[in-house]
Amino acid sequence: MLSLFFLMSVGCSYDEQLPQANISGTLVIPREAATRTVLDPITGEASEVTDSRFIGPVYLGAFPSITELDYGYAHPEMGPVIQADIEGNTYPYGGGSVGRFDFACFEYLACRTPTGRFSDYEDLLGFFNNVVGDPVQDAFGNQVVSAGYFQAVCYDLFEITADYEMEWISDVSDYEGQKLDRLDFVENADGDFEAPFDLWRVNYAPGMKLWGWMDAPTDLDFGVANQRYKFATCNEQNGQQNNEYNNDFVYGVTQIDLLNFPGRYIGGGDWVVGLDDVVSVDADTAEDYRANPQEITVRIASKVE
Amino acid sequence: MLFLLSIFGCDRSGEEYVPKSVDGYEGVAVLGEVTAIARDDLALYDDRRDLISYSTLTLPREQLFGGATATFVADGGTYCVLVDPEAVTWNQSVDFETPSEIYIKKDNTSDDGDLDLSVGLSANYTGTPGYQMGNFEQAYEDSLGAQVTVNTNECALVGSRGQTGAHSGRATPEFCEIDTTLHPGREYTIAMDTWSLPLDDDLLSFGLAVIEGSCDGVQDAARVTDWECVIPGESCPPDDADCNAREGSFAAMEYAYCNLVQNVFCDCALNPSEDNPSCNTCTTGSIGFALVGDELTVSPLCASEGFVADLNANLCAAD
Repeated sequence: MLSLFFLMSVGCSYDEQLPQANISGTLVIPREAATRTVLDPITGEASEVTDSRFIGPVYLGAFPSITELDYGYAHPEMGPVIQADIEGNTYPYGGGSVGRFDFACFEYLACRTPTGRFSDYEDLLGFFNNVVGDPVQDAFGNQVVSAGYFQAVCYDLFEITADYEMEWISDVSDYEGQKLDRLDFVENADGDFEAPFDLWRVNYAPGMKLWGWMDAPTDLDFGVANQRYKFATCNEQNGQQNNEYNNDFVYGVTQIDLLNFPGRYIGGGDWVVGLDDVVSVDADTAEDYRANPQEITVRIASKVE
Repeated sequence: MLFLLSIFGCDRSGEEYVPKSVDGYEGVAVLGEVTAIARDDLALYDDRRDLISYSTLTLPREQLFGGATATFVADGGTYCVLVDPEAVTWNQSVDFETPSEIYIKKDNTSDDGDLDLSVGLSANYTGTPGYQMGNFEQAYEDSLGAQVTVNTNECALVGSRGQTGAHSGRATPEFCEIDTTLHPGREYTIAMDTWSLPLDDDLLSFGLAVIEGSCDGVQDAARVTDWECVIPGESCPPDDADCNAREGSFAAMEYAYCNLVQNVFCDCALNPSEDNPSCNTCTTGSIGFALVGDELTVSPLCASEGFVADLNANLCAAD
């Protein structure tokens, strides 16, 4: 009995010597990245609007080095090119995101709703209907204006009974009534936007560099380009299928190779970590890093032209 | 009762589900260097039989993974690499969902095998052709000295849900495009790993074609509507004299299926033409084809030079 007690007591002190570490820090997005020119839906007048809901999903990774050799912006080093027309793999050590695509109940919103951006139904409807100027439509082509109707459609579609079951709703309470503040970004004293980030279980390499980018939404254009408000990092052809009754669409899903082949998805208007803002993680080993985590702030302040 | 059950429980060993090695055949085969086939040479059945590489595999005698390798030298263009393992063609479907009893040949569910295809630069291939199968994985060291295993297999097979690294199922052709722009004049290795052997004879026959250009339009060039038909008669390599006896009427059934005249295999007694339009040749006679025993006979007109079977109308047409 005593020996069992002894074993139990020392069992908790075993260090697995894992070569991984969780990298956490603060992400800063400049105010300009959350500012867009929008048209007033009634007067047609153009105006500059700054709104954290314009901040698209942000992808962060740890890489061996960052360079500007192959693109007009800072990007991770790449491994060998194996096939023509396919860039080399960056072989990241790990990564994560601040915000991911979630399906907000209507086909019209597939690939357009990152998590951590919208408080609730009214917040999302207000953004698309009044700020973006691309009103939300239901399955019958009617504009959605009622939060109650929105909620009813969601509950019916997902067969759920509470708002907290949908990740895209951020300002919500859980089943015990505990407030869940899932909004990612807050405005800081400089007028920029900050959010915490976590990169779980990164394969640790001393000297690795943190780099990432923000996928900015495309400009709305109902003219010749016929371009809607959407994101390049979402795969509109894949994801969960919905074939209930007359439905025939997919929910969309985040592309699977964003950190391995970022050059496929970064385009004009997106924001990346510039060379001057690259953060180096310098502890000698993962164990050292876990014992003394570095204070990290990552700035995504370089706009891709 | 338990005693009775235990007696019957021991009456089979399950050995029939374990493939064996067959004398006279190799488990790890080398097809050597194959020549790319021009698209214009795909049109005729006999030409394809001549130009496509066929072989037969059995279980390796040593405890090794089986398969076959071939090579081709790239000219900087794009190639379509296609492998078709036997057999899949049947005549009487016995599955539960879509049973069909109008034909006379039952499906042999044990004559199907599976090969997994990969293609890459020969310099990156880790196997020893003819002795041990390998892969295209190479070590890569990044600028911080971290080692990464890089798969240089260039045969990108995409699954039904868009995922890469997929392979076709049993007896189904696999094909991919190889863009050799980066390595003109270099040798590429085609590795076909044995995934499963047919249990009826422990022999997996297959056909391999390296076709110039992309995979788009290959079926049109071969005048077929199914990838299964691009490589004809893969169950019986042309130089395997014993094969027809072993495989029965597979080649004839495949020929009939690919030329849309499968109705020559109709069970006329079970399905008279007035009840089953697809069996109308049972009473009106076949148009350009006839079944004699296990052999499908092409009419003299269709078989003569300058004529081909019209795939859409089941007629002989001028080539």
